[in-house]
Amino acid sequence: MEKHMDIKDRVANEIIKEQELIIGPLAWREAGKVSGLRLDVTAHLAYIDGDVKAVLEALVGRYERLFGQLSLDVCRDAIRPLIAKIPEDQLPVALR
Amino acid sequence: MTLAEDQNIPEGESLEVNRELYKRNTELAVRIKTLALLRKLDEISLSALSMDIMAREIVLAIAVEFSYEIVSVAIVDEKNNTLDWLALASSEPELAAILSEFPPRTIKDSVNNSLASVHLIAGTEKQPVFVTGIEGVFPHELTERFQDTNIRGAIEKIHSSILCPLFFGQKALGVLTLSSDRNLHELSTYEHEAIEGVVSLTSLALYKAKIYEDLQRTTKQLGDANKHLKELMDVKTEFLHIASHQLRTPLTSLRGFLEMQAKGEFDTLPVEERRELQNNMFSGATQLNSIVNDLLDAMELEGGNLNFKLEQVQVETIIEESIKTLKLNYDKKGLSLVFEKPSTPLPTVEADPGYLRQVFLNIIDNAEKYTAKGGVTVKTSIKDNGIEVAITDTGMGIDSAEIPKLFGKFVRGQRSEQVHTDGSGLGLFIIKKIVEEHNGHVILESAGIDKGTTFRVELPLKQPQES
Repeated sequence: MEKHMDIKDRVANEIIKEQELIIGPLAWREAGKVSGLRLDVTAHLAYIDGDVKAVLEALVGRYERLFGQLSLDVCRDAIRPLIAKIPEDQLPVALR
Repeated sequence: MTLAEDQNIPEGESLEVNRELYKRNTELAVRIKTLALLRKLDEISLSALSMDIMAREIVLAIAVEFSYEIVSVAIVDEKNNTLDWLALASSEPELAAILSEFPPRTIKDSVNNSLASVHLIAGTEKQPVFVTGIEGVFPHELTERFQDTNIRGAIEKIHSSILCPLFFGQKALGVLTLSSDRNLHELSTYEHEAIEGVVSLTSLALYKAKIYEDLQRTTKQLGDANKHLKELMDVKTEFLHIASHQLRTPLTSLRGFLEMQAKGEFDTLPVEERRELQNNMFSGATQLNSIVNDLLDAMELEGGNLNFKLEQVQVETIIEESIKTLKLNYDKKGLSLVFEKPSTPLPTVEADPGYLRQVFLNIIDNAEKYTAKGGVTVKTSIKDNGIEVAITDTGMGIDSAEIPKLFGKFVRGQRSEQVHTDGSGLGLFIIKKIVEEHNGHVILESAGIDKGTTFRVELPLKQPQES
């Protein structure tokens, strides 16, 4: 992942890539269904265009709807190193 | 398309299948991560040789790959009976910055105090210990630093810790600690397996590094012992040289003289030849006497059985007497011998005048032997709470690398053979011992070969009172 990426985009990418380790390309397909999240298929990167908190909430919500509580834990673990850097008002309660 | 749509499975059931598959896949993902980490640890173990570097890389890899708040490795120091922390790391950048401030082996805990140590000493129990938060995991010195406002939040988030004893066979090596904001009491089987793998590889890596460190230490000790043996051999060789050459030469001529006497040949020689032979005999006997005296002095000084008769001594007087004794030899060689006396008398020093005379006679006599032209100047001055006597010659000088060795026993300058061969190799050793027994110092200085030499003898005014 590109280090100079915006922190909100890094959070989204960490979540998707961690999910990809578990469910493969399905992680990207599900992410593609989240409105406000733009995917660069060639570069394998995601960018948040809309309301950060709402987009992240929708993203983890998609995984949770399909795979339950465990997928939320995975999302939380994935962004642990970044959590201190993202403003609290942009972070969904489920990820705190 | 979802699994339910794809295979006409009722949605509720499909969700359950999804979640079960997700769970299995999560396990697999952790296993893959664990394997990747184990491979990384293996690489670290193979590439790093120093234990401190290896420990730092290991804890960093574990902390980052498994997102632990704190990972640390401590090793048992059997000699000092302590547990020494080699490295600490964190996946939290702020915490990592604080932890990286501690150099290896500066945080220590008595083996009898720490929770980790107590567990480690128990020995046979090699199972990990679970604790709430970080209670009892780290020494007080470290937990105090955790009160730092920048990292207090990260520390307070830590839910639990695991202390994993590191063993190689039955040998206790140290402890690996893992602290996390997750509840480590509720780890899944595969997470336990992952930790077991990490503990085994860390133990192996540290054991290898320990063997390497021990080997390096032993090699150094052997090297030092070898060097010392070589120095002793050199001393022995020099002693044998002195014994065989310096003692045998005058003895041989004395024997020859006595043989001539016994056979009645001596009386038949012309008067001039007889006088020359008698002079040679006298010189040989003096040389023997001098060497034996040096050997006795060295033995006495080394044994520390000196009986100094301390009194107030005017150093200028001793120097003048020494100069008077040796002036004739200087005149014979056409060398100058100048004493630049201070304008006002120096304070007296508390010393044994006999031994002090021996020191200055020896130095001024040596200076003459090693000086071909020019001469020697003696200066005295007050220095700190004592006096300094500087004897400077314009002689052959000394290579600076040689200076430290010259005060040893049976050691002579590399070029001393070129100028005179009747030294015992004990002169400077005796001078140094006498001055040091007077709580003073001898300093030898030379700008190099053919650039002269200066001896500085520093003596305190008073000797310490015996308790």
